Amino acid sequence: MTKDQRIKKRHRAEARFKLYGLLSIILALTFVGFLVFTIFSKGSDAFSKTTIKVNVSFNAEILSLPSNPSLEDIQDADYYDLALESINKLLLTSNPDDEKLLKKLFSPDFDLEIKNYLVKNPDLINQTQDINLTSSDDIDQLFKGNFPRDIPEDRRQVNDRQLEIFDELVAQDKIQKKFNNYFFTNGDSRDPELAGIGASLLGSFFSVVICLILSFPIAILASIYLEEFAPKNKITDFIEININNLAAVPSIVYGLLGLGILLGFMNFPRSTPLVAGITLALMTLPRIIIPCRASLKAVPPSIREGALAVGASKFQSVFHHVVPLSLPGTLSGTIIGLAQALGETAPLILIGMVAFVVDIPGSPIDPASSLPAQVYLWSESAERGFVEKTSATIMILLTFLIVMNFIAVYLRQKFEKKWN
Amino acid sequence: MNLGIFTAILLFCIFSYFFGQTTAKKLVTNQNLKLKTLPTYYGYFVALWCGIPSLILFAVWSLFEPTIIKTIVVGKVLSASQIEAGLTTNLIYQKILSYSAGNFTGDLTDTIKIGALAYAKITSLAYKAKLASILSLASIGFIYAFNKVSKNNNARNDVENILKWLLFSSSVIAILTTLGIIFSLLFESIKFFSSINIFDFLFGTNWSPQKAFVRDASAITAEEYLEIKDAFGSVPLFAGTAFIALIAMCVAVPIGLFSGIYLAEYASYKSRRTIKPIIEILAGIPTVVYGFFAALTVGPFFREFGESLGLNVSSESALAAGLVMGIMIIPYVSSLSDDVINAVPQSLREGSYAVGATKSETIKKVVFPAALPGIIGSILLAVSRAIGETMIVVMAAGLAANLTINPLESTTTVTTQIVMLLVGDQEFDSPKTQSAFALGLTLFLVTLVLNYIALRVVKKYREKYD
Amino acid sequence: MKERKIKIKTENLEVYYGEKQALFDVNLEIHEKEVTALIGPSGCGKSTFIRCINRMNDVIDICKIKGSIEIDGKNINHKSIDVVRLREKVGMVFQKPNPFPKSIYDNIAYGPKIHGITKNKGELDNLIENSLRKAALWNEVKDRLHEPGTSLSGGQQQRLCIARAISVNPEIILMDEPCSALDPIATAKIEELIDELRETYTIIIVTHSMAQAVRVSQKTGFFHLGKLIEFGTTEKMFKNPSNNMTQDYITGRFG
Repeated sequence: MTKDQRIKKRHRAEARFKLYGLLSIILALTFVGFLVFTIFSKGSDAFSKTTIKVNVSFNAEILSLPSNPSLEDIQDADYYDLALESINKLLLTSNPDDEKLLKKLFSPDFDLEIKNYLVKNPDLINQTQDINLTSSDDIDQLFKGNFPRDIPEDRRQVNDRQLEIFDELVAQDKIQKKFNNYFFTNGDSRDPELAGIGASLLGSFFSVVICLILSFPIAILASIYLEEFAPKNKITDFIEININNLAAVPSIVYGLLGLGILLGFMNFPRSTPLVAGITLALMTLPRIIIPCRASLKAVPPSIREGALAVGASKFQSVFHHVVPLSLPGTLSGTIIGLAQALGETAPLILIGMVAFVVDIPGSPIDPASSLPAQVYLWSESAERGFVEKTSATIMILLTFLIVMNFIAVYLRQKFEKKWN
Repeated sequence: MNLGIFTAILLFCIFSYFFGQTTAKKLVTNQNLKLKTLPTYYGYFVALWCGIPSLILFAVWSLFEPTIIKTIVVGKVLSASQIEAGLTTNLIYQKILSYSAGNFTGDLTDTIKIGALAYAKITSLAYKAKLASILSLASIGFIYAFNKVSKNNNARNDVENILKWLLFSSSVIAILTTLGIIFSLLFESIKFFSSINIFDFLFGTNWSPQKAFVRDASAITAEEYLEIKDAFGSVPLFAGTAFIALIAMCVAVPIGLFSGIYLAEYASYKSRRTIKPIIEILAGIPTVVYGFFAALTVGPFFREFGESLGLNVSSESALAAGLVMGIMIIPYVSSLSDDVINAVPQSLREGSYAVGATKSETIKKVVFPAALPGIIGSILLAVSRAIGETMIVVMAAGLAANLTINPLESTTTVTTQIVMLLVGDQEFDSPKTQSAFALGLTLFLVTLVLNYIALRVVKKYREKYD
Repeated sequence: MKERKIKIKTENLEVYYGEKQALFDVNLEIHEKEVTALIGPSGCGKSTFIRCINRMNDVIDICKIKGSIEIDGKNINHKSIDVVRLREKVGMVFQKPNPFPKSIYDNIAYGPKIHGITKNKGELDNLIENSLRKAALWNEVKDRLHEPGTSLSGGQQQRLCIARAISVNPEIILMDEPCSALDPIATAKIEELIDELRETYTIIIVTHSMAQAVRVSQKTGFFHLGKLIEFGTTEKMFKNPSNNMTQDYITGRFG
C-alpha cells in the first residue's frame, strides 16, 4: 500500500469512528424523545372526561323530602330513582331493555353526582337544571376515539343499540368533554372513569416528606463528621466503604429490610407512608452523604485555616464557614436523592403499598399508595381506560421529577463556587 | 398524638434555651463573673441536655411501642396455646386494628370487639406513660444542665463535645443500615435453609414455589419435604437475571461507550453541555415508567413483528425487557465513560498527535487503554444496576422460571420472584416467603462483590492520574 | 560560512486565542540542520510560536492563525495539507515528559506502526533500536524494553520521548523547554544529545535558560510580549545585540 493510500484509509477510519459516536448519541436522544412522546401522547387524554348532558328536575316528591328541607335532609335522601328518571328522559322510547343499556352509559356514581349538585345548590329544589354527568369508561373511550367500532358486536364492550343511542346523543350535542377533576380528587377505583390519583399523590407526598425529615439531618451530620472530624483510620475507612456500597445496593433489598424489620420485627402499620418514608430514608441516606462529602471536600483548606487563624474553634470554622460554602452541592445532591426516592416502586411494593386504596389518606399512618405504585397497579389492569390514566400519572410524576432535577442543577450551577 | 409529644419537646427546648441564656447573663450582673464563653452557648447547652435525651427516649419508645402493644393486646385476647400456633395472631390483630380504625368489613366476632377495647385502653395508657416519661427525662436533663450553668462551665466546649458525639452517632446510623440489611436477610434465610437444603437452593434447576404449600414451616414431615425440596432451585432465576442483564449490556455498552467517547473527544463545549443532561434524563426516569413502556409498547411490538416474520415471540420476551433495561442503563455507561476519558491527561493526547496520529487512532490506542480500568469499573457498576433492577422485569418479563438462551422466549429473574413471593396474603413463616429473603441475600452478596470490585478498580485508576 | 538552506519561514504570522492576540507580525527564517533557540520572559509567545509549526494549536478550538508559515516553501496551513503527514515530518518534545502508559518498546513502536513505516517485526525492532541509540538511551534500556515507559527516571523519560519523536523519521524537531522539569545531570545529557541530533535534524528549542541557549544553539530569537524583537546568530545576540530591549533582557534587567 502506498503512503497515499494508507493515509486515505486512515482518514476514512477517522470519519467512520466519529460517525459511530454521533449515531450513538442520536440513538440515545431518540430513545429519550420517543419515550417522552409516547407517554405524553397517551396520557393527555386522561385530563378530560366525557360527560352526557341530562336534564334533571329536582322533584321533592321523588326524593321524599319534607317541605323546607334542611341540608341534612338533602344529604340523606336517596337519589337513585330520581337519577334513573332523569336519564330515561334522554330517550323517547320507554323500552325496559333500553333503560338498562342507557344506565350503562353512565358512571356508577351518576346518582351521587346529582346529589352533590343539589347539595351545592339547594335552592334548585323543584326546579329543573341541565347537568353534565360523567359517562362510563366505555363511552369515554368511544368518544375519545380509542374504541374500534368495526369489530363484531360480541367482542365489543358496547353493543349496537348502545352505539345507536350514543350517536344520537352526539347528534343532539349532549356529549362533551370536560376537565377531569376526578383524576386529581379521587382515590383508586375499579371503574376507570372514577379513578384518580388523589390517594397516591398524598401518599407520595407524605412518604417523601418523612424521607426528607429523617434522611437529611442524619446525612449532613454524618458527612460533616466523616469529612471534618473523623480520624483517618481503619474504622472510618470501613465506614466509607460501607456507605459507598449501600448507595449501590438494589432498592428491592431495602424493601426486604423494611418488610423484615419494620413490619415483621417492629410491627409498624402496613402500607403506610410512615413505613415507606423510613424505608426510603434508609435508602436515600447514602445517596445524600456521597455528594455532601464531595462538596465538603471541595472547599479548600485555606478557608478552614483562615477561620482557625482568627481564633475560631474547629466547630466554628466548620459550621460557620465550610458548611455554608458546601451547601449548594449538598442541597442539589439532596434534591436528586429525593427525586430518586419519589420514583421508587420496588421497596414500596414489598411493604404493601400496592393495596387498593380508595380513601384519601389523612395522615402518614393511614394506608396510602404512591404515584409509582399506582402506575404499577393500573398498568396491570386490562381496561383500556386505565392506559391513559397510567400515562397521565407518569406525566405528573415526570413533571415533578423534571422540576426537582432542574432546581438541583440550577442551584449547583448558580451558587456553587469553582475553586480552581 | 406523636406530633403533640414532639411539639412538647420542641417547646421545652426553646424554653430551656432562653432560660439558660438568661441565667448565664445573670451570672455576669449578679456575681460579676466573667463568662467563659458567649451566653448563647449556655442556652444551647441547657437546650441540648433537655432535648437529646428526650428525643432518644421518644425514638426508642416509638420504635418498640407497636410490638409491645400488639403483644399485650393479643395476650389478652387469645389463650397461650393459640399464641403458640402463631399463625392466626397476625390475622386477628390486623382485624382488630382495622375495626378500631373504623373500616372493618367482614364478620365481627367477640374476640375482635374485646381486642379493640383492649387496644384503645392500652394505646391511651401508653400515650400518657410516654408523655410522662419524656417530660420527666427532659426535666432531669434541665436540672443537671442548669446546675452546671450556675457554676459557669465552659459551655462552648461542652456544647461542642455534645455535638461531636451527635455527629459520630449519625455516622454510626449509616452502618446500622448495613447491619440491619444483613440481619434481616440472614434471619429469614437461616430459617429457610433449615427447611430447604442450601445446595438444592443454589444448584437446583426447578423453581416452582406454588407447589410448596406447607402449613407449619417448623415442623415439616418427611413426605412434605420430599415434595417441596425440588421446588426451590434458583438456577433458572439467576440464569434469567444474567441473560436479561446480558441483553441489556449489549445495548447499553456500545451506545453508551461511543456516546461517552463522542461527548468527551468530539463534541464542542456547548453541545456537550446540552446533550449530556438530556441523556442523563434517561437515568432519572423511574423504572416503573420503563416497565410500563416495555409492557405496553415494546413487548407487543416485538411479538407482532416476530409473528409477521413467522417467529414465535412471547409478548413478555427477554429481548423486550433486556432492550428497555439497556436503554435505562445507557447514561450510566456514557456519563461515567465521559468522565473517565476526560480525566486522561491532555499531555498524552498531545504526545500522540505530535507523532502524527489521527484523533480516532489516538482515542483507540492511547486514550482508551489509559482509561480502561475506569471504563471497566463503570461497566461493572452498570451490570450491578441491571442485576438488581426490579420494576422493568416485573412488568415486562415473565413469571415462569424458564432455563433458556432464546431471547424470544420469556424468562423470569431473581427480583421478579422476590416480588411475586411477597405480594398478596402471605403467612410470614412459610418457606415461600422465607425463600424470598434467601434470594434477596444472594442478590445482595452478588451486587456487593460486583460493586466492591468496581469501586476498587475505579479508585486505583484515579490514583494513577492524580 | 555559507548560510544553510531555509527550512521554515514565517511571514506576518499572527495568532489569536479568541479575542486575545498572542503573536504579532512574526517574520522568521529557520535554517536547516542547525539549532535555533527561542528565548524570552514567561508568556511572551514562544510556545505558541512553535506549536504553530506542527499545527498543534489546531487542538485548541479558539485559536486563530493569520499570515503564512512555510516549510520547504509550502504553506502548511493550506487546506490541501494533511496535518497527519505534517506531524510525521515535524516532531515535538514537550516540557513535561509524556511517555504513553505502555512499554518502552510500544512507546517507540507507536508512531511507525500507525504510519506503516516498517513491513515486519524485524524492521520494527531495528527501527526501535536505532531511535533509542540516537536518543542515547539504548544502553540503559536494552534489557528492559517491555517495562513500562513510566518506570524510567525523568531524564530517561524525556530521552524516550525524543526517541519516539525520532522514530517516524522527521526532518524537524520542536522542543518546548525540554529540560525545565529535569535535574542538571539529565539536562546535560540532553544538551549533549541535541548537539548530536543537529547533524540530522533541524531543531527549534524554546528555553527559559539563556545559558542553555548559548550552549546549544547556533541561532537565537528573542520574543517579548508576542513580538519577535531580535533574531540572529547566538554569538551576536549575546555579545552584541542590536536592540536595547534584548540587551536589557540578557543582562537580567527584567525576566
